[in-house]
Amino acid sequence: MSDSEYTKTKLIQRSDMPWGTDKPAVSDDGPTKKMPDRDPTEIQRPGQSEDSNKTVLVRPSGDAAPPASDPMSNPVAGWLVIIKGPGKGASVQVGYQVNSIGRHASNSISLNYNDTGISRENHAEIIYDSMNRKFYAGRTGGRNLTYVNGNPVLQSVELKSGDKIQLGGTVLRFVAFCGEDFNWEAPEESAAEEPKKE
Amino acid sequence: MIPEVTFAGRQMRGGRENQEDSYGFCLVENGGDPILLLALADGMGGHERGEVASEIAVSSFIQSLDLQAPNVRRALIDAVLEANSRIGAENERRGGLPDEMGTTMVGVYVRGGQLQWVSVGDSPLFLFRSGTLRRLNEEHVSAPIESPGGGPRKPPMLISALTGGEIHRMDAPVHPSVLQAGDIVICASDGINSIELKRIAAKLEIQADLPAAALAESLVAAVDAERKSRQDNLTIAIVKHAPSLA
Repeated sequence: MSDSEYTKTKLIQRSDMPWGTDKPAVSDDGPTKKMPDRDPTEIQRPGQSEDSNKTVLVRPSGDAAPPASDPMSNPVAGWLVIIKGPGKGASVQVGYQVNSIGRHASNSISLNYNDTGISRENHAEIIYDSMNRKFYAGRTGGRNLTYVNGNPVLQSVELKSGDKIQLGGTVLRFVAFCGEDFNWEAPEESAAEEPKKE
Repeated sequence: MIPEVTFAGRQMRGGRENQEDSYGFCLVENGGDPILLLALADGMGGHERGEVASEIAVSSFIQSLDLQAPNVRRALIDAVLEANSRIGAENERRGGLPDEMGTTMVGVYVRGGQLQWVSVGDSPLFLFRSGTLRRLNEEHVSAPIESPGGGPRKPPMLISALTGGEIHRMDAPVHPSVLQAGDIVICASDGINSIELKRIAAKLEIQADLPAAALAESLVAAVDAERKSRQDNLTIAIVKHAPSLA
């Protein structure tokens, strides 16, 4: 039924020639063979039986962001740094307006480090109000609580740089980027706002 | 960095007719500052298109990656975009419909004890450190779909892949991960989902000192031992970070 016939690590040599314009990756006979120890007759049988657990590709109907999208579509407003729990040492970006936090990738802030104390979706929200240049942590109606500096978040509370946010077994330190001294709406003006002595 | 010792890959076809996974390592000496590249792709599409797509993705990524680029992340993204357009061109050459062939893609770049990657799709990239296994890359799948009337749930569906068209999600962290001595990086196709993460972690914990090839074989054997009749294709690629050996 199963076979583990692939008993050697597959190594590819890079060609010295620049990956080129007129050199096809695939010949008429099929893909370029890069692994002589793999038996092509064994793996290239045509015909595919219907298989319910096969990977299926679907297209999101919405307007998913292209990979190299303009960073200014959601510029950085701050960061959360994991200082305790799985993922310690990592950071995630806080964007403009409402950021949902959860384990799943569908959240705007995904903490995917297997802390099951964090809800899959929308455990909590971090909000950056760019008009008033203030950050808030908010509750989302889920069953799991969030704590800011040890106090449960029962309604939105203002966040200051350096505040500690706990979700499940994970503790995050909030670092503001935007605020009184910088805002993306007027970065030049912000930069010009150096303290002036009169 | 030594093949089979510090890095290795193994595959299994499982209960499928074809092996639609492709992978390859490339070690570039780079004048004493070696760069290790790994590409892993899990193809999809009938009539051999799955394996063609994954093979194109792997070879195109390895060959086209600009090793001189100052911005590694940008170079990794560009290599994926190049692979994507080559898949699109091949699909067109075969007269396929849009999306008729596609593949996931994980591209890994290790240099000077730093790990950087790019990922599209659902092929997992894990880091095993100090007894803990954690997933590094995003999983580009939809939530399981409940059938009305309580029938069997449909499996999660892939929402991003290289098909020659638009790539809907791409995970490419801005900052590289700094590897520590003893770290083990595992990249796999989703066939590894037949065994639980904690079993993978337990195996790695016990066998951490084995060469990479032995670790990869052990994980493939663990999946094989499940004897799932419809076991998906499986590829496991392992990179061990041992600075003293580097």
